[in-house]
Amino acid sequence: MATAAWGRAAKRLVAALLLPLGILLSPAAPGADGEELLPALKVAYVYNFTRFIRWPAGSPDRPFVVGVIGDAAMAGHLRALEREGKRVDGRPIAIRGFQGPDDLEPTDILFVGGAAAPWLDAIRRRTAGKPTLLVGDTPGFAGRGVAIELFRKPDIFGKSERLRFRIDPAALKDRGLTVSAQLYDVAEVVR
Amino acid sequence: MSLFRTTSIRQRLMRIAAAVTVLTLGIVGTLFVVNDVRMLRQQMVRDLEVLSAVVGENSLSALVFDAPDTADKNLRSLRQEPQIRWAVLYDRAGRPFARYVRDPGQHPHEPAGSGEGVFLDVTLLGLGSVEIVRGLALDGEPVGRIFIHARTDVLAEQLARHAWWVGLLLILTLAAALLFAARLQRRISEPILRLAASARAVSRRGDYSLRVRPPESGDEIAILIDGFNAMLKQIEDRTAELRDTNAKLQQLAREICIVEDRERKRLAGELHDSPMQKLALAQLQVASAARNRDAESDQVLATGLELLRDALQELRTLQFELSPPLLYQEGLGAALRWLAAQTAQRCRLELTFVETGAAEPVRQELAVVLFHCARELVYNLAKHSGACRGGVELNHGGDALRIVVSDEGRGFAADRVGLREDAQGGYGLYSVRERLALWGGSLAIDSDGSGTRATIAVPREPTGPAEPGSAGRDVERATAIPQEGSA
Repeated sequence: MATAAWGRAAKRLVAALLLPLGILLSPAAPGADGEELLPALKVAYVYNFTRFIRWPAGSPDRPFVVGVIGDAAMAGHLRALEREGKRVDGRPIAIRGFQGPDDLEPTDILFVGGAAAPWLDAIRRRTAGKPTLLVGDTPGFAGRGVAIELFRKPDIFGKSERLRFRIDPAALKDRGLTVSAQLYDVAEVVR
Repeated sequence: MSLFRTTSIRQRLMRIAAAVTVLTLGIVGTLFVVNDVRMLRQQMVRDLEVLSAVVGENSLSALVFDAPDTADKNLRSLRQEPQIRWAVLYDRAGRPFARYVRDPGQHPHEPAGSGEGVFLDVTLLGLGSVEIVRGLALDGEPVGRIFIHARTDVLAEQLARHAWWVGLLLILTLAAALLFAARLQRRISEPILRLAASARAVSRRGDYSLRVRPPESGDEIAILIDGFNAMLKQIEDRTAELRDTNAKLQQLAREICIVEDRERKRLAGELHDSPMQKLALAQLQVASAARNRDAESDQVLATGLELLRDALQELRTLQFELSPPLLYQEGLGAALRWLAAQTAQRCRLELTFVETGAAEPVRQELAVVLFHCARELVYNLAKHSGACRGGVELNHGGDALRIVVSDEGRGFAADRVGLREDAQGGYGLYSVRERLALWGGSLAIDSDGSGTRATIAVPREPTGPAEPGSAGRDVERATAIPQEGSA
C-alpha cells in the first residue's frame, strides 16, 4: 500500500523535478513504478544540490566531476547528466566511477553508495579539506562524514513517501563549500 | 452674478477671496490626494512585487526538492501583510504546490491567464485588487510561479484619511484667508467706500465743496479719487461762476425793466410836453374861432373839435398805459382800478376791480412790474377769453401780494399756451413769468371750459436790488401830465 502511494507521489515529483533536466518521464507510462523512478529522482536531487551549493572557483576548462563509489548502478544513472550536457557554473558535468578509496581522484561531488560503507573513513580522510561534497543514500552516513544523506520519508498520513535529505554541517566544515540557507530549509539538519 | 449686484465691494472682495481660496485648495488638495493615491498604489505594487520575489525565491528549494511544507511556511510569512488575501505557489507543471489563504472562508481563484505581471483592478476611490503573477526560475530554468492576490482597501483608507486632512486644511486655510482678507481688503475697499459715501453726499446735498481723502498709495484708486476731487472742484467753480452769472443777469434784467419804465416815462413826458400841449392849444384856438361862426363852419369846427378831443384822449390813454401817473401818485391799487375801468370802457366788458387786505406800500419798481404783468393778463382776457365779464383783484393779505385776473370765458390749455414766445413775437405769459421770477414771484393759471383764473404772487419782501429814488424822480414829471379836462 505504502509502496503504491510512494509510486504515485514519486511519479509526480520526478515529472516535476526532471523537467529541468529534459528527462521527460510520463507518470502514466506502462510499467512505470515508483521504485524504478527513484534513481532518476536521486540524480535530479544531486544535480539540484549544485544549484544551492557554491564550490570554490575552479578552472572553467575543467569539468564539474561527479564521482560514484560503492554504487555502480547509480553511476549509470548519473551519466544522464553527462548525456544531457548539463553544466554547473558553465562547466560540463563529468561522471567518474571509482572501485575503491585508493582510486579516488579529486571530484566536486562524490556519491557514496551503500557498498562503500567499509571505506567510509578512508574516503573521508582522502577527501578531507578538499571541496568535495559527499552525498549518500545509506542511513547513518550523515553522521559519519557524508554531508548529505538521501532518505525516504512518509507523509503524516502515511499514504505516500517523499525523498528527503539531511545535512551534516560538520561534514561540510573546512571544505570551502557554501551551502544556501534554502537547502537547510528543506533538509533535516544533523546535530 | 445677482449675488454680486446687491452687495458692497467689501463683501465682494471677501467672497472673491473665499472663492479663490476654496478653488485653489480644492484643486491642490485633489491633486495631492490623487497623486498620493497613485504613489501609494505604485508603492503597494512595488511592495507586492518585492514580496512575491522574496517569497518565490525562498521557495525555490521547496519547489525543487518537493517540500510543500516548507513552501507553506514561506507563504505563511505573508500573514504580516494584511492586504494580501491569498497566495498560491504553482509548480512547473502549473499545479498548486502550496497555498496561503488569510480568510479561511475565501476561495482563491486562478490567476487570469498564464501570463506574468501585475494586474490592477482598482476604482477611483482606491477600492479593488492587485494581483501579482511571477515566474520562478532556477539558473534560468522555470521551476514554477507564485500568485499573490491583495486587496487595495488600504488605499481607500488612505484616501479617506487624506480627504479628511484636506477638508480640515481647507477649513483652516479658508478661515485664515478670510481673516487676512478681512484686514487686507480694507486697503482697497475703504477708499472706494469713502468715495461712494462722498458721491452720495454730493448727490443728496449738492455740496460740491466736499473732498475725498485720497489713499497714500499711488494706485488706480488714488487716481480715481484724485479725478473725483478734481471733478468736484470743477463743478464747484462752474457752479460759482454760473451763480455769479445768474446774479448778473438778474441784475441786468431788473435794470432793463427800470430803463424800460424810465423810457416809457420819458415818452409820456414827451407826449405831454409837445403834441399834447399843442393839441390842447389847437383845441383852445379852434374853440375860440368857433365863437364867430356860421352854420357850415360850425359843422366843420364841431367835427374838428371832436377829432381833436378823440386824439387827445387817445394820446392820454397811451400815456397812461406807458406809464400811468396813478401808479406813481396813488399806488398799485389805483393804477389797477384805472386799468380795469379803462379796459372795460374800451372793450365794452363788465370788468370789476376789488382790493382786499390791509394795503401796504409796494416798492415802486415792483409796482411797475406788477402793473405791466396785470395789464398783460387783462389784455389777454379782453383779446382771447371771449368773456363778457371778468374781474381784477388785488390782495394784500398773507405773506404775499397777489393779483388775480379772472374771467368767465372759454378758457385754454394753460400748460401749452403762451408759456414761450408767442406767435406775434411778444413774450406773453412767458414774459410775465420771467419778470415775476426776477422778483421771486410766480404766475399760476387755472383754466377750464368755464373760465380762467390767473394769479400773480410775489413775496412781501421780494429779493433783488432796486435803485431807491430812481423811479421817484419821474413821478414829478408824470404828475405834470394834464389829465382829461385839466388842460
